[in-house]
Amino acid sequence: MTNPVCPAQMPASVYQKIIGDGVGDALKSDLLDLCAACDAELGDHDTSLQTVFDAYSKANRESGAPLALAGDEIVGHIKALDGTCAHLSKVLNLDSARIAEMFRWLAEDGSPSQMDEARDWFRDLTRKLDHMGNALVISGPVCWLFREDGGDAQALFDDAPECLPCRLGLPTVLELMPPYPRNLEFLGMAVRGALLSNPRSATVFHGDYMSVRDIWLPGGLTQPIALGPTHCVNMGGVAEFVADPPKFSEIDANIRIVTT
Amino acid sequence: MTLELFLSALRRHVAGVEDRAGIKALDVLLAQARDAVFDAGEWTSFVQTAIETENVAAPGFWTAIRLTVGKLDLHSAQLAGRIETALTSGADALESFDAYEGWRTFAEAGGYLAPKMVKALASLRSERAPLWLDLAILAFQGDPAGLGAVVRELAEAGEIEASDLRSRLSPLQNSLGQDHFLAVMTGVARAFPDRAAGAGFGEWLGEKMGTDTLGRGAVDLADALGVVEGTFLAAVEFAFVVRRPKPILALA
Repeated sequence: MTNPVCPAQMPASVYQKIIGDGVGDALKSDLLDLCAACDAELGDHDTSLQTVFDAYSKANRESGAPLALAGDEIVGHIKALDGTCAHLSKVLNLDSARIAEMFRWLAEDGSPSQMDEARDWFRDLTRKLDHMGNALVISGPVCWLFREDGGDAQALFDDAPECLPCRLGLPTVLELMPPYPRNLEFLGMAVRGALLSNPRSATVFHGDYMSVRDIWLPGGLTQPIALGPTHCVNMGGVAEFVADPPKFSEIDANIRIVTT
Repeated sequence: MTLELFLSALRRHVAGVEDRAGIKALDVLLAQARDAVFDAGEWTSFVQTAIETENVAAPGFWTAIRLTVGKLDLHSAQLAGRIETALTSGADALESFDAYEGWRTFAEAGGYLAPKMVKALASLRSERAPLWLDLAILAFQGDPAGLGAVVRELAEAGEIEASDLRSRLSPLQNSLGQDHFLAVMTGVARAFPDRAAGAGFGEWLGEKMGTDTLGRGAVDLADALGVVEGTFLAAVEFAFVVRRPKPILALA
């Protein structure tokens, strides 16, 4: 089958990423056809490539080849600490600074009594339901997870943890760099692969347009942010995939705080 | 750093624009500022401008302002005053969570949060009583009796659950202090309309603190002795506070 032509507003590098992705040809053709009518690359108006791409991606987030994980494999996830605490504050009716404090205590920063208190709180958290009656989950509808060759992604929390966000292409707010932001805090979580629902390969439809344009590569290996610390960039990218978001009750209570 | 850059990041924050790990542009700007020598006066004026020119009733606005004030440790009477004015003049338009974030920001910017101000936040109390309690814990600093009465009242009215108190264990310990914590919590455990839940809370706390005072047995004993509802707290306070030996000079 002949590849569709590159839309006028689409940079060749983005086009090549789409063509090189493992998603079906029909999806690629549909997307490129829609993008052909766009009148600008960026912007939040209806006819920008960015808007059309993001809308099409959102509708096709179930894409990706099913992934088989070994039953004992442990995978990882990182999430903005402040944003997570703000979100949970609204759900739990508990001040965000208090939530952050208890995550810090869980991350082995607390005294024995603080750890004990934080564990009680975390146990309560795993039993809480949202307003729809569903168990609380650790991310939005698409959860990005990373793996490590040895089968235990927790190793990445111990080996130069300050580099992990950069190696995962985070934060994807490139328009404000340089400098690469230091002292950004992430919640580091680990989950057993066997507990995951719908694990699948990450496709061009799992990121937004800007991340696909500037960070994402076909093949499942995220590239580091080039503006990050040199020693982090030199460590290279990390293998990533997506799944339905795990529940808090499914993650290891051994929470980490990862700081850039 | 320019005002335009800050306002743009603030608007994106309010619009919920974030990367796949939940990082927003404002997070990056604030991290960059903290990593350099930033001008607190300039940032304070940016925040004041935002409060005067942006839609303060937009969901998420006060969370973004609180993040900025907190990360950069911005303290000024003028800023706190602007925040208070904005919160009181547009109070009706604010969703309860945003009102909470706004008042928390006021306190973190150096504003004095008085019990009277918290008591006036009726919508917040009726819609999100546990968060209202978080503001009360701040406002009643130095007044353990006042805070104890508030916690008991919330429990009695069924506005908070035992889990709301479990998640605030150390803030309550810090505010009530060694002299009052156990006494107040004993009264609170007994105040829950759901007696089983109250007894369960008492047992949990009793086990946590290593005392039988809060357990089911203690509550049953109070019933058996016919200690009336209004005097139970006073009886426990007597047990914990009044029995201390008094200085000889005071006795004389």
